[in-house]
Amino acid sequence: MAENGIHISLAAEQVGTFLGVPVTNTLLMSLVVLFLLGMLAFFVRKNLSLVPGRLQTLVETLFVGILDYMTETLEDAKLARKLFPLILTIFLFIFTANLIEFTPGIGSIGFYHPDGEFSPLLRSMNTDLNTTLALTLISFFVIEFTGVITLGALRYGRKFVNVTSVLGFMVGIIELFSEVARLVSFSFRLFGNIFAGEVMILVIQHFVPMVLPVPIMAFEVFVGFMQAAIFALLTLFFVKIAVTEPH
Amino acid sequence: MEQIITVFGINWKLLLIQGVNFGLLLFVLQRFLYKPVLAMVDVRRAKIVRAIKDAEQAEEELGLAEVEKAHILREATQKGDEIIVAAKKHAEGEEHLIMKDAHRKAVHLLNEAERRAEREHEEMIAKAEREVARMAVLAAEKVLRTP
Repeated sequence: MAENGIHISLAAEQVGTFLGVPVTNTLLMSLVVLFLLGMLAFFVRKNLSLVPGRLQTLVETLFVGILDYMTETLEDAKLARKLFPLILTIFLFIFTANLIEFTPGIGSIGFYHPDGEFSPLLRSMNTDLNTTLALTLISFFVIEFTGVITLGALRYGRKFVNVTSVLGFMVGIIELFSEVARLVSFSFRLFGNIFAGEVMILVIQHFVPMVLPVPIMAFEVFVGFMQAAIFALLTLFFVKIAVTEPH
Repeated sequence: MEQIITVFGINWKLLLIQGVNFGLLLFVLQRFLYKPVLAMVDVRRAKIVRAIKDAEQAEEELGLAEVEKAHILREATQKGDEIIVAAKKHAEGEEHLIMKDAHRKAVHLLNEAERRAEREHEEMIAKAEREVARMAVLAAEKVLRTP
């Protein structure tokens, strides 16, 4: 039975099962994002020419600007070129998902379970901790591996296990904790921001269904952009910290 | 911990799938978007660098040609002047010669004319003397014949 109150679920709703894997609406959404970005890549690739068109100019300016910024930050052109795809993909993946989260149909088209509970078919991708945690884990491992590969396992490990002095040892322990704490801060920052936006709009829509949600939505798109940029930039900065020699 | 996992619906299968999704996206974008676009930028950059170098070289060559042109012009002017001066000098010498020649000729002609006139004059006087003599003889005859 359709209820009048606002129903909010922290976990993504399951819409089916495929090969023993629960298919959630956020998983479907991530596939949509994948498809959209694939289309973008396809169109840019197809129209790629030495004399660039509008889309190509935009894409090129963006890419070169980001690559230059990364080179500046990392002070290593080779490492920047290697990390560029990851950083940019993180940004594009999160940003595209946040950009389309208010597309009509997302969150409103769905079905009712036999017990009267409504499950939308699509749900904003980053309102599922599974997605943000997966991204965080990837980002985390890339940061650690880049540190180990660049500095060597021993020198990198010395950042966390320092037995030269008591103070150094304590600092190492703190470093280790802050390193692991990133797993939580990264995933919950993104999840929290986007989820809170969704909930806020849901609440406002409940009271004022028209006009008022529009500026809030515009603001939430901006928040979505900011969160995507923050996720990508923090990954970049932590890589920079990881490849910096321990003192 | 258990509660957090249940409340947020965390499922290791979903985590893995989202990770794989991201990896797939990374691969596709790297293969079909980042690499070609950056390669295209590099190609264009190389082309622009070459074009600028070419333009600089052309400009340099133009400058050299300009210098060469000025040099040639100066040389030509100098040579032309020399030729004119030489021609003038030559002409002056020639003029002198011609004048001298003409003068000599004129003097010669004058002398000739004078000499001829004198000769004719002498001849005329001689003729006249002869005529006068003859007339005198005739007159004398006439006188004698007249009774």
